Amino acid sequence: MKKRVLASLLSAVMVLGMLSGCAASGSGGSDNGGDESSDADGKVTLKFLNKYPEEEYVHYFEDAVAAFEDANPDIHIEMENVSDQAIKDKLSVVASGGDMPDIYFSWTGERVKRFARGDKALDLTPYLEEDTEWRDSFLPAFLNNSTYDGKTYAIPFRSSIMYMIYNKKVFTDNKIEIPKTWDEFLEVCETLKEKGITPVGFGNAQNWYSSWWIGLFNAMMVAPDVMNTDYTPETGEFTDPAYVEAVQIFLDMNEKGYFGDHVNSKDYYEVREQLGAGQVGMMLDATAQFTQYDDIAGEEGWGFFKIPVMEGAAGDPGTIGGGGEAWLVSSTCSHPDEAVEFLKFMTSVEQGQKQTSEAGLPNALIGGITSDNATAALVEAYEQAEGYTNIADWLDCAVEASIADQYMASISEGFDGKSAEDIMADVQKAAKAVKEEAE
Amino acid sequence: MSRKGSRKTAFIYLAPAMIVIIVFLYLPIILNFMNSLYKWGAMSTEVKWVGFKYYKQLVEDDTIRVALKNNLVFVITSVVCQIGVSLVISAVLESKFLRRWQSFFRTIYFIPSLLMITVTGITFKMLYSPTIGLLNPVLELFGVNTSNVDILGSAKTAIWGVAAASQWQFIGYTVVLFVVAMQSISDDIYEAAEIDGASGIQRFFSITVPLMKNTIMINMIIIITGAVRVYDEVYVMTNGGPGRATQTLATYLYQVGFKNDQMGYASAIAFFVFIITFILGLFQMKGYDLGDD
Repeated sequence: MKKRVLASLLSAVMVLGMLSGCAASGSGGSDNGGDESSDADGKVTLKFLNKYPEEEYVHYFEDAVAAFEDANPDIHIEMENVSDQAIKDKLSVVASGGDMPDIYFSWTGERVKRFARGDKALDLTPYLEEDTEWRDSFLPAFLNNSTYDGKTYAIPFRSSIMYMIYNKKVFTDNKIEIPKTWDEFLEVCETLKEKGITPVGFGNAQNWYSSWWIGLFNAMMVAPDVMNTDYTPETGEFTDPAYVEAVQIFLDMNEKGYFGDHVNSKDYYEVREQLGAGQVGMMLDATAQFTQYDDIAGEEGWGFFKIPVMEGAAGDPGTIGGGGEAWLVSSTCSHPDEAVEFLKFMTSVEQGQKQTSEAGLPNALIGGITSDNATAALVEAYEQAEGYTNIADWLDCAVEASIADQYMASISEGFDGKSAEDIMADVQKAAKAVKEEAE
Repeated sequence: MSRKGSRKTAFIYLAPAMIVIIVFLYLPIILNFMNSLYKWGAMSTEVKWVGFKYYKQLVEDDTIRVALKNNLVFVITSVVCQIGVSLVISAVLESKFLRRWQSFFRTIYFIPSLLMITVTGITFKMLYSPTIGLLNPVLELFGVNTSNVDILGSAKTAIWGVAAASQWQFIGYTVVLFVVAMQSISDDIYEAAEIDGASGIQRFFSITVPLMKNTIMINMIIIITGAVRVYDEVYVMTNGGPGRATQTLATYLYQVGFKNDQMGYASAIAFFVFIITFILGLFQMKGYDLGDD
């Protein structure tokens, strides 16, 4: 009998052991010690974690790394590329293990600040101040976006600005003009709906897409200083009534059928195809995806406009939705000078333009998008964007992760009947927990 | 060699396995428990003692309740389908007039369990889709108004949709195991019962099921612990959504730990899951008295 109990104990534990397998040492990572990245022959090796394993992108980055190594024979760059979805997890995991790559990718905004707060990123301000020409070459909205406590921690290399994409054929067939005001925009939605076309393509099966919308609405409707306070984990409360209004506008659009049926089970890719097929009139998307629409709708088949701001809204009218991607240098990097050297090379005007023309990734440099290296639509989009002073990040990059998670989850419930007040009550609760933790 | 000496030898032989088990199984469980008493995250350097705060939070967390309910849905549907339905299917396959075709049907039923869960998940996601899926047109044929049928998009039905996909995939697996066990039951017993005038259903309940007790119990243990740990199906099909409607303990643990970077709380959830499965395991092993026949 005793044996049996022991045996059952052991086997039960075995089955379950897998679950607790994800426990890691609580000590957190500190130094990865030593000068191990220096080879015997004095060659410096830098580990570089990047996000572009896809065929259409990886060649550009491989070539760029090779070109840098040619110009700097004593520096060796070891690049690793993991996919968009995987890098979020990978960074969390390596950060907890302590062995951070010397240079690594992140989205700008809160995601960069998270590394800065955790002391995982090197303060790059001195390097930028030393080389003001380099500093002034970036679109200010994107460089400012990676500032924490007055210090810059990340170098932006890719920029994205959100516009409303529309199917030109659908618009001309139904004699629709590009809306200039929010009310006109709603009228366009109504007209399209009457014609049996889904006015706005939106699917929430992957809920990051709703974070684009709500991030944009918040930026339009909430006063900038209020938003700044709330988006900072230590001070966030989300009690301003404008947040509820923003959610309400989003839910109303769904309620009126502007997003079509079943938003919670459609996804972004599905509605994008529908836009190409003319079943959907418009959809919100970012310049980073502009080249995709040439394939989906044909180069002449689509256009874009800035989503109009509601009358009297409290937000900063100079703000446009979007986000950037950046590279950070690890605080444990033992050769920061070389790492910065590499970043300077990668974000030089020459490389930035190559990045845009060869990989189709819009750079974050002033005058970096020209008709030589980008499609006409992209050039136009960036010309418009020079007038905007501030970038409203996708919400999931802008606020603390567990608040963003709650925000997105509650909004999906909103499409299933939850009220805007209850949604914001959930968010306030999550923000409160984060605030208390931070204290 | 003396008896004492051979005992010593036995210990030496057992030591490597014991060490591996201790280091990779028991130690992590203890470490995990200790981790759950600290506030820490992968991204932050701060490690702060919080005691049992996360266990209090766990009791108050609504999502944990949703997750427990969803795991329960999985346990129940899995036991009903993968034990109940599977037994019936295998009994039918073993019946005299289907034996000729048995290997054909067995293969048909077994093939889904060879697929990757990702493949099944994506396939079912497409089948359920109200815009491009097959399910709604089929329901319409039967005169059902499908304008509100959106299996994975509605919080009420989503978890059942996910559970159903999982059943479709794994029924065949237990069917095969049961068929094999049934084949080892001697025909004499059935003949004797037949002579005594037992009907097919009586034979199933009085002979087949009792004689297969061990196989059924082992499968039950595997299925229930599997259902408590379910992760992949949910991750692929709904990623816990809409809202939090399909979060299970495992997906929520992942969300909290790796997405929200609250490793301490995630450790507490992991320990909670461990306790549940541990108790379940003990009950089952003890209740079924394996190997006592």
